[in-house]
Amino acid sequence: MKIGHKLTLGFMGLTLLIAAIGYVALSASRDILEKTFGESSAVLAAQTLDRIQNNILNRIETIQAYSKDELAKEYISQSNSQFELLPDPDGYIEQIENDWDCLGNELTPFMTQLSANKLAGELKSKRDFYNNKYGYPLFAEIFITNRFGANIAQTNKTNDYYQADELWWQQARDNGRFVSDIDYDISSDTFSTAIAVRIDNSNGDFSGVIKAVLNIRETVDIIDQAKAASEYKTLLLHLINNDGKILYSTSGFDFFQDANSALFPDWQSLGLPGRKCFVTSRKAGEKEILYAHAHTKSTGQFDGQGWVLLTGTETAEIFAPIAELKRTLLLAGLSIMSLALLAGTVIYRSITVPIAQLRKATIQVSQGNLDTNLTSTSTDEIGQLAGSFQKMAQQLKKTIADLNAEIAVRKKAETGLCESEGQLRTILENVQTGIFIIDPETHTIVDANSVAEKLVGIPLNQLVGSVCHKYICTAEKGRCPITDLNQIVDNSERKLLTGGGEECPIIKTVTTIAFKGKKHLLESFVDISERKKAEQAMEKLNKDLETTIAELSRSNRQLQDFVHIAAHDLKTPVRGIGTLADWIINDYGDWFDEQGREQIRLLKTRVLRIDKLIDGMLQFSKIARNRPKEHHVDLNGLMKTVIGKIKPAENIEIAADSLPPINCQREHAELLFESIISNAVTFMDKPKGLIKVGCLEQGDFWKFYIQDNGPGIEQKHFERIFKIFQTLPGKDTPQTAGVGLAVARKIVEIYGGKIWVESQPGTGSIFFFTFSKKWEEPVYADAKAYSAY
Amino acid sequence: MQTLRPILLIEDDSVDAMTVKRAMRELHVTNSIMHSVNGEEALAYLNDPVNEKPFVILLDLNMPKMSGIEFLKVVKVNADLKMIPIIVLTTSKEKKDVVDSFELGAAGYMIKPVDYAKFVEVISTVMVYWGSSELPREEVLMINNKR
Repeated sequence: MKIGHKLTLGFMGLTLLIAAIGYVALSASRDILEKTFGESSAVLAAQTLDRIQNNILNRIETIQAYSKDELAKEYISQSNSQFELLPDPDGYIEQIENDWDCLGNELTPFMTQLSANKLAGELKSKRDFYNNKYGYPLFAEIFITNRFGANIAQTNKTNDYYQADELWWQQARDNGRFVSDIDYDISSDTFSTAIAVRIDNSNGDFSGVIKAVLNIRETVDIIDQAKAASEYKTLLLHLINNDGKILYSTSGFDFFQDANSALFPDWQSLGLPGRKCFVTSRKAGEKEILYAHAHTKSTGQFDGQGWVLLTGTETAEIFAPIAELKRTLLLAGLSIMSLALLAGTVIYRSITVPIAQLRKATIQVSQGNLDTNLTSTSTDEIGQLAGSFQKMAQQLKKTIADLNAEIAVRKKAETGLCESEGQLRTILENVQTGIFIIDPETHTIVDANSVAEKLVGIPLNQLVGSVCHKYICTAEKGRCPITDLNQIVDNSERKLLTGGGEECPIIKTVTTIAFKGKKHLLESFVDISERKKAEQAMEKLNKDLETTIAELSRSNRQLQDFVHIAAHDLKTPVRGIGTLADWIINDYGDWFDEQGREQIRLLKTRVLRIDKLIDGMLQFSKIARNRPKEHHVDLNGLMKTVIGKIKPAENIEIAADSLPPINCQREHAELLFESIISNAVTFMDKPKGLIKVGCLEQGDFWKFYIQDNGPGIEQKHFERIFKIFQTLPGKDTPQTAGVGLAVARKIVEIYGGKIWVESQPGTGSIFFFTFSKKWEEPVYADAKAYSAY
Repeated sequence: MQTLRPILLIEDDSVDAMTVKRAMRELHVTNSIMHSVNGEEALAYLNDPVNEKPFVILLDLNMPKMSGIEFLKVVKVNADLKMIPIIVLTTSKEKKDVVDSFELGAAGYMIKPVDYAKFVEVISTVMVYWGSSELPREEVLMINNKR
């Protein structure tokens, strides 16, 4: 059931529970109140009755006291004596009685005398005394009879003269006293009760009776007082006699009405042992009344009249407080219930409204609309739930978007896949590589492309299902390099077994491929038999080449060594010749004629030339001898050394700009610059020689230049001068060995540069050479390049 | 002054030897010049206790049987001989030869000029220097010799 119902039920339940408790409490308190009230009413009734009784007793005692009066006694004994003397007292009495009756209101002198005698006078004064005292005739009538029952004194005319036939007279005579029920006394015209007391003479013998008619006003007063004293307005007191007749009631009843019918039927049972002293009763059409009752108690001397005093109070009044309480409770209950309802409603709403919102949102989500905006202002659990729900919806949205994106991607991938499968098949069949697809567990061929088929020379239907060992692969079963030996076959040379049993060299790569959902091996291979052949041929060639190179190197070395040794060996005799020539001139020059001396001089020059040539050869050969290592050369310092070595004549100035450092062997750099500059010095033909050395930057190269204002060179010689042993001047003019520029060129070309000359015959020449800024592995060209032959 | 002690010239080329001697003559060097044509002969001479130890050795490098370098090696480990200053007198300009010579303890390295006049200058320089240099006395040498 719904929360609202639950809440309502809950609250209602609670309220009902409270109501029930309240009701039970009310009932209980009502019962208690009833009992209490009933009992207190009974007590009240008893008290009232007591007071009535006491009152009456009082009066009885008054009368009793009076009965002891001397005068009364005297009169009574007198009367008694008189009567005793009569022959027929009864007849006497009877006669008077008849008279009494017949005469009605008339008073005979006898009668008057009865009420006028001294005793009567006392009686009257007594009566008046009380009359004055209380303001009303307390005793309506008092008279005394003798023991025969005849009136002897009376306050007023009684109805009868003879009283001995009256019950009261007899009762008084027998019991000592008598109190009658309340009755209407005709003589005194009052509601009264008769009190008769027996008079005894001094011997204790019955002598007469005194009767007083007590106005029950006192009783009534007492009853009225009781009522007045009560705070209950509806309290009614009813005095009921032995016969069930109402003697007096504080209201609403006729005298002597039957209590059974006037009040309620069972009143007499009240107060009996075993029964409660109160009861509630309702007469049809009338209000409910609680009756409490008291019986007259019998005192020692006095049995009591047997009266019952009933109190009756409207239960409505008794339970008015209860009713009040009930009303209050009801009101409170109602207000609590309404408050509860209100609270319940508030709670209900605070729960159900957000829940309804949440539910709406969930419905939205279930319909696929994730754009909920569930804002909750409260921070209670439901608010948190809403917040979490919101997050969840957002996350769902995101996840769905991601999923959708992924699905789109997947779809695309799928179509791509289909496409690529088709492409794959096309590729497989058209590629120039042979392809096998092999099941790694069973080593059976699952698929092969046409190139593979052709290479192996076995048709596809035979290939598929066959085991690859010893069929297409040289490996033994159990020694498969991939599955057993865990090798990686990647571009490795293997052998393919053809159908004819031949081994075909191939380059094979094996990778894994997922084929039909399972891992397979993809073998791709290329026939390299042609390549192999070429490789072998190449190897042979290489070997030959190496051999040749070794031989060449060896002979090259030998040659260089030869040149070196030869040069050295040549130098000595050359020097010897020169020395001897000197000595001849020195020692025997005088013996020669001019021609002889000239010849010796020519001899010496030739010797010098040989020496220079040999030096040049040595230099040239030396360049290739040692393996140059990279060396940073400071050209500025080097220039100083070179100029120092060359020692130009005073008229020749060698000016060097600031030169950058270069990477080469120092000897080479020295030789290079020295060669060119010494040439310039040697051939200087101007009186003031100027040789300028400088450098220009040309990208990755330095372009050095050595400029002189010498004789210059004709263009047709530009190439030749760089060849070995080529000199331009004739053999007799100062000359060089002819190796300088060849050496320079060799050095420049070792370092990957170029050398050339620009010249104006007569003006001068500029020699240019380039040098790489970076280190370059030196290149040795063959000697033929430097030779002119 | 080392006027008494000879100069040992180890040179295989006759003309070169003649050149040295002639140069010494022109320089008026009075010390006797002992000439060996190769390293072996020179060693034999040096090791012969009869012979006077030279005050300086002029050594050529390119020689048959035992090259100058080999001679250097042998002499410079010889306690008797290693203190004699050896000037290498050669045609070779090879840096390697220079390095090797000095590594082996040569006291100098002179390149024989082709021109005689220059040659004389070189010899003059050597003589002037080594002639005035203090050298270990023979007594010291003799003490170290175990005779």
